[in-house]
Amino acid sequence: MTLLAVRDLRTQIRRGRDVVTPVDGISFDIAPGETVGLVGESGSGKTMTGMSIMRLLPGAGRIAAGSVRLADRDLASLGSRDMRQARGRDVAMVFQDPMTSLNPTITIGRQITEAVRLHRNVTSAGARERALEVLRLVGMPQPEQRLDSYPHELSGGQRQRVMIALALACEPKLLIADEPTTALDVTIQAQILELLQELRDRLGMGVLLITHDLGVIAGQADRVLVMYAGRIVESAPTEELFARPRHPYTEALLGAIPRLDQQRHEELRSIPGLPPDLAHPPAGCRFAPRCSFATDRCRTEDPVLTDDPDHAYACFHPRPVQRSAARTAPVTAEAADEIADGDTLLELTDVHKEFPIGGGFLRRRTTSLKAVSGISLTVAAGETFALVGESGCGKSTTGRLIVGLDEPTQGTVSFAGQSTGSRRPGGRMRPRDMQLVFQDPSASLDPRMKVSASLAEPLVLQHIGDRRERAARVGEMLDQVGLSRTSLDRYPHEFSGGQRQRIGLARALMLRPRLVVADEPVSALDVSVQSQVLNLMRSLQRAMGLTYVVISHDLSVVKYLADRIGVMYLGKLVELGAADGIYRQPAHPYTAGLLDAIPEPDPVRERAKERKPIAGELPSAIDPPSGCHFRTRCPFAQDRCAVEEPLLRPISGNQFAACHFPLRTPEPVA
Amino acid sequence: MTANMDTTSNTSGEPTIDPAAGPLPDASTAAVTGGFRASATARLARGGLISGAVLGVLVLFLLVIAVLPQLIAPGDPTASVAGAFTAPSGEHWFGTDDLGRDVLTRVVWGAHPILLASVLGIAIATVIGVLLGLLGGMTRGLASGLVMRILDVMLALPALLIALMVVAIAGNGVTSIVIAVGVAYIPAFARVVYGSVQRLRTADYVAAARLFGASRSRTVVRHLVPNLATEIAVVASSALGWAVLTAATLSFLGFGVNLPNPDWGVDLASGGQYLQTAWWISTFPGLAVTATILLSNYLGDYVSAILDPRRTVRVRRPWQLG
Amino acid sequence: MARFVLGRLLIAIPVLLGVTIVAFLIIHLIPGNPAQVMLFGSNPTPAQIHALEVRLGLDDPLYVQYGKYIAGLLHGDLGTSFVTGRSVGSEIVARAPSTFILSGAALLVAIVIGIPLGIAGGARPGSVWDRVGRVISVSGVAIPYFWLALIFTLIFAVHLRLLPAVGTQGFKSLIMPAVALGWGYAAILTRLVRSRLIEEFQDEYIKTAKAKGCSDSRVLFNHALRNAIIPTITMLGLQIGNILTGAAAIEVIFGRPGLGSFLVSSIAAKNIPVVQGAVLFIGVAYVVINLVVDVIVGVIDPRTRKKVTV
Repeated sequence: MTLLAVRDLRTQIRRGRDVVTPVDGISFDIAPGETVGLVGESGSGKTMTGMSIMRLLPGAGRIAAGSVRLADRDLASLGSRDMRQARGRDVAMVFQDPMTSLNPTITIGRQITEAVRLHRNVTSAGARERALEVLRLVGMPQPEQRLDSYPHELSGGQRQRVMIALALACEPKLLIADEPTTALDVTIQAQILELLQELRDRLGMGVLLITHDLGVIAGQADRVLVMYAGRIVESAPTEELFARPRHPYTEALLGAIPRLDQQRHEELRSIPGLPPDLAHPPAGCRFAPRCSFATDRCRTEDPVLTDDPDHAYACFHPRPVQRSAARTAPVTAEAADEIADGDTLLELTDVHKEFPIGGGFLRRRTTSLKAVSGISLTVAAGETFALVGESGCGKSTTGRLIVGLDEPTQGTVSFAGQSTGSRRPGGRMRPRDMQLVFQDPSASLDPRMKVSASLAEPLVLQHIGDRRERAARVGEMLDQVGLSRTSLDRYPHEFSGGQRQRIGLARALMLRPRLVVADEPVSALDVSVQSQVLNLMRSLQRAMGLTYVVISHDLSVVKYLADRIGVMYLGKLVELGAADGIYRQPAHPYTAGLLDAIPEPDPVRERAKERKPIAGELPSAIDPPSGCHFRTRCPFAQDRCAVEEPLLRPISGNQFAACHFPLRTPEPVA
Repeated sequence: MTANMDTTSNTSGEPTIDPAAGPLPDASTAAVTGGFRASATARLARGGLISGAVLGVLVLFLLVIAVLPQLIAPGDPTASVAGAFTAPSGEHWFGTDDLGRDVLTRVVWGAHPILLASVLGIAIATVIGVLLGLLGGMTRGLASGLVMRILDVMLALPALLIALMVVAIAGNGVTSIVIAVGVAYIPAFARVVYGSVQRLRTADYVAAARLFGASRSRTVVRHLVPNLATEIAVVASSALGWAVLTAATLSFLGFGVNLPNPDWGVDLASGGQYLQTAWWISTFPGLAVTATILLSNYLGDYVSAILDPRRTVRVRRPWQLG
Repeated sequence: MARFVLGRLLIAIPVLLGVTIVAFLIIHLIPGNPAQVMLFGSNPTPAQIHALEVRLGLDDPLYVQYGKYIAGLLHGDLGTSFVTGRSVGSEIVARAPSTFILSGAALLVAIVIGIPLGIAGGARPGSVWDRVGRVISVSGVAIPYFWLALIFTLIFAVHLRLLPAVGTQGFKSLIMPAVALGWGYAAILTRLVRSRLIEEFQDEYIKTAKAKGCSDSRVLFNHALRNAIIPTITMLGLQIGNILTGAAAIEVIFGRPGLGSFLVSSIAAKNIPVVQGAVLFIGVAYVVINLVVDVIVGVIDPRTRKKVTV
């Protein structure tokens, strides 16, 4: 039985003089109770597919051809009045960003009751009753009070629950979830995904899950559609697709994701180039310009999706059916597996950072936000140390403290044995030794400076070389980060996100620093580009003997880069040690929960997981819980945890955890 | 009204769906929106080449009138050349006023005080406002606090009231109108600069410059000033229209030039007494002021379009009228 | 909510104090001796000037004078008019209602014209009503309101003889002044509402509203407009000061004895205590009105209530 049947759907958007076709003749089905994953990178047309089904295209867009049959009606040709009634009642949608998707000036209750009253003939009391019911359904804590709350009073996870409640208020047959967890932290993501799955089973809905995250797909979807440049290039049941990808794009995509089960020092696959401009798509296969298997036929003739309902693909040269995919990546030659035990380069001793807040002129007692509260760690020369944690754990602040953009409220940061505080004679920090790579490369480059000027700026400021020498060094650096020299005369906005991050890296390396702090260096990038940058970071480290401090929320990225990691929770280090050990056997319940929550791009493992996601949400850093900060969400918490603050103590060898009841029995120190 | 708005619309294939939820335009978007440092021609083209040329000619014309009125109207604006209240005719295109003076000549000669007051006034407001904004935004402690309090109070007074106060203090005359317009628009500039400095101070690229060892003054010169300059140019060009109106209001109320010297505001006011008999005496100076404000507004839109293609649909800061 | 209101009040106090300082300083900023200024036009002898200085305490240090000024204000004493010798306070109070009525009527004109046109333009950019709105906003911003008043007079009083050219008798006499004064603000309002609506329509929550099945008009009135109106109200509050002051020229043209025309004639006559009193009065009225506007916005927009901490 089919719930939704999309046939030859083509959507067009006018863009100035051009007509863009973000969705170009796609067909697929969804059965009741089935989750179909639609995966693709930015610009692949996956969001526009969802918006086409909902008929919520932007003003300049229209459905040019094809049909969208939901149950027995064609949504594509429905009158606007009927379509309006179908929205919310037959098909509903959950959007990516819960922070902006709710009306900020209307209470949660009224936003839900509006949806109910639009489609059901109920009294306002009845609608309120229904709103309460769906809020309970989505597991909202204290639903009665929440009805009268405004969106800004809720956390991101709670808001996404409200969005889901809103979508389900009238029990639609089809739910379109567009990146429903992308804006959320990994523990909250796990909660929301579990909720979606449970609701699907309970209500028997069909779900179209749109995402860029193959890990989410692996755990949630029954079938997967891979989209590239407006086309579906491969379609198969989830396990089949992950085990035997046939399209080179799918294969490359799978190879590009850093995995938790990956051997370290294995290079990631990366896909060269960028997706095509959909106003002028290439003739022939749209992936051909980036495909390493492309032949002349691919460049002239357009492959069609094969007819096989179990595994369809659009390629003239499908990859052979072996479980080859991600594992064929070359292993780099020098796989020095032991942890670099160079001299200590960076040392943080009991570092605190508080930001005063409030403090009106009548309030004597100002409160403060404890962003970092007592962190001590060392980083050895030549190693990669990673700070991981969810948003609000203080990892970025720690990064800024390390490079000296902020001053610690208490404690010291020392570099190569010398304190870096501004009270040091000389005033400013030593720019040559430490640099920061920013998360958002478009914000960290002055939009009005050409690349050549941006890259030369550090040299100019440090009075290094004359004009010609600087130009030479800038050129060399561009070669090293893999950008052509024609980039010099261009402005930052003329580059793609990945290219901009290369420029950011190049600039940070201009002064040949010894330590580079990279704050979420790839989180703004698509998977295929992310792997390019990660590989580059590794090769630069080898070439220049760099020490990295990588700050990331993404444990898979960290696994790929780091020798040692520190896990942060609410301003404190809860676990510290060698990456391999921590990933194999985490000692702190938070680390374990975090690892458990990561969706892995492996359907077999994902389904085998006995999930027990970390419950609840991050407490406020203004008034953190007493004792162990994590105790409010910890499944093993006992009375002692509320009274006594656990200190970081050795668990085994070089693994440390701050927990009274660690998951590993501490070995006696030799 | 808007010079060329479709250059700013962002209609790439898909809305933001970046993994990190950051609205990071991909390459195709960047190509569409075009850079704000594209070539000079491209920048001018963004504002519309033809409208730019027309605008340029008109502005030039107005400047000539303001500086060298005798080129256009060789007569003496204070001389009686015909009978009083002569209707517009082939000889006196705009007619004559109550004292038989040629209205056209007076309109041409009358441009000088108001244009001087508004252009010079905006220049004063820009300089002082920018300095105050920088002082408030860049420093901490007493200086910044003091500046902010002064601005708070100035913003609590309507621009025209500030201008009237200045006139009450400085007396009548073109000079005092210049000062009045200048003082009245200081807070507008200071506020914009203060806001931008606050935003730019925390910008990542300013932090990056600090990491390379840039001093505060260097950061200001290299990063803040170029980014501020655009914004200030946009505000200044759009404030010009309001300044013309303020200057015209002050001279209409009789605080400008002394009679019998020509001035749009003064002539408008005196012509108002003869509406019944001679509509043309007030109508032509009125048209002149209106045309000047219109031209200033178009100029403001054009400058913003050239300098900042990424601006949103809000064309002009609708702040003060009066 | 009470906390919020209290917070706003406390923020307003230093600003109000600042306004009193400004008003107080006017007389001292005028070039020359304040006493000489006060005796403007009467060719005083040095002895006369000195006598006045002593009488008014102008030889005291500035802060003592300011203290006396504030003490006077607290007793409702705004000084004495040089021209009539009457209390400035009572002169202002006598004229204020006329100006408030004119300004209120102008505000009403602005709202009645500007908001519907702004909504029409913002909801359907490029439509006929959007074009009408553009004509109004271009004309309203470009045509000086005092010239507009003269044009109205020419058409409706001189030629059509529908409305009185001057005077304050009855509702009819209010129409031309109010429309002339309000027209420009209607223009500003049209633009603002239009552009805010267009911006709101780009927001994500609009997609959510459409996805639940709201009709276009429901999306417009229940969602987009609700949020667009918040900055509009704030802006209107900020413009009220300009309307109050702009009333001066309109009052002069239509011969309405109000605060504005009083201020203008007092400036011309160097009647400084009246100028001080009027500046103080308009400044305080402006601050108070904006206080009220802030509270109204606080009621409509739940987010602003949280921001103020005292």
